[in-house]
Amino acid sequence: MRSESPETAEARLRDALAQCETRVNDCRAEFGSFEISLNGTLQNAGYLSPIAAIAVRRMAAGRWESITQEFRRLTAEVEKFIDGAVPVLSLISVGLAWNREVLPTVSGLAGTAKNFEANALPAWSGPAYEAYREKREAQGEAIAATGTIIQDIGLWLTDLADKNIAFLLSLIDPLIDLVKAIAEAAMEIATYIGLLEAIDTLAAAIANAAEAILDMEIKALQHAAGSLHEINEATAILNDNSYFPAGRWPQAVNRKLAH
Amino acid sequence: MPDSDEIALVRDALEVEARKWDEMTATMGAAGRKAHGLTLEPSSFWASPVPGVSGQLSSVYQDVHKLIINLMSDAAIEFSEIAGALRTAAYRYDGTDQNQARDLVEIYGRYNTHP
Repeated sequence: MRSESPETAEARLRDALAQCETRVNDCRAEFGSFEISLNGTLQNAGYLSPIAAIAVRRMAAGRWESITQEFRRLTAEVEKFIDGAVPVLSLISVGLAWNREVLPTVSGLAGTAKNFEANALPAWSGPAYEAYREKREAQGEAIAATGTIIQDIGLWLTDLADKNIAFLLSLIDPLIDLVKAIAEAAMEIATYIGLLEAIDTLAAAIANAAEAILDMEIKALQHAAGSLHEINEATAILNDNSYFPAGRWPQAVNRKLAH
Repeated sequence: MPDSDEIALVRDALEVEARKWDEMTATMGAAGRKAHGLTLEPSSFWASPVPGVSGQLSSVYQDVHKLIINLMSDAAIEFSEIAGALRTAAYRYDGTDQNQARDLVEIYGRYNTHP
């Protein structure tokens, strides 16, 4: 598991979100510019050759509608990830709380349990004292084991947040590629002859970006599934009978049975 | 056999030790209450809206969270019981090893004289 501080993880998550938003906006801006160029070329084509312009316009219209839908679907998908990542911030804050607010208190108790508070206590002897020594030791071990679980759960949450961040960051490259591809396709629109080719180039770029993003999502989901294994390993201590007999806190005293 | 001063010394030491467990009860109780509030919604776990992933991660967290809360709660109860056991030990302490079996039962409870 990683040991990155939650503050750093939070800053990285916010940065990844901002980068994704920026790239989606870049894509929209570039797509809008493409559409303006497309309409401009179609307009100009009309002055030069109205018949050819009508033919190209008809061919372009059907393809353009389909491309627009694909583009909107793609950007909506990325925005869903961005919106979905906002609650992940609480994953980081809760991880922070486990490690900063709960862990130090519990860890401190392990030492307190094992130490004698009064110097005179070793003067106490006999079987009751021997029993207490053993019970005190078992309590100290159980507290330390609880501290380990708390530390692991806090780190697991931070690690999971990091996997979310890595996923968001993995979306950026396909979006940058898409912005470039739209800009390159727009250069082909200068003439109405190149216009249909430009639309096809754009369609291919959107399809490539969608495929790359789907691929990233699948990989990210595999990593998420892997983290389930990590937490199961980390919490194996809960099933360790030497710390928690039958999965419960070691019982030192049974008052109800005593009376 | 220890004299009355030595017996008093041990009894005082047992009371000091008992107070330590009282304080640990309070500390563990406070930490447990803090931990109790560390809940997370399923949507917090994963950015991707693929059904099942967030739910699975959330379910694992909830299980571990519940276990930790239960352990901390049981620990606080146990610490308090230990404080009580030490006070019983102080009350019964007379500096001898007589009535060993009965002492152990009185202090730690029947069937529970091991850690």
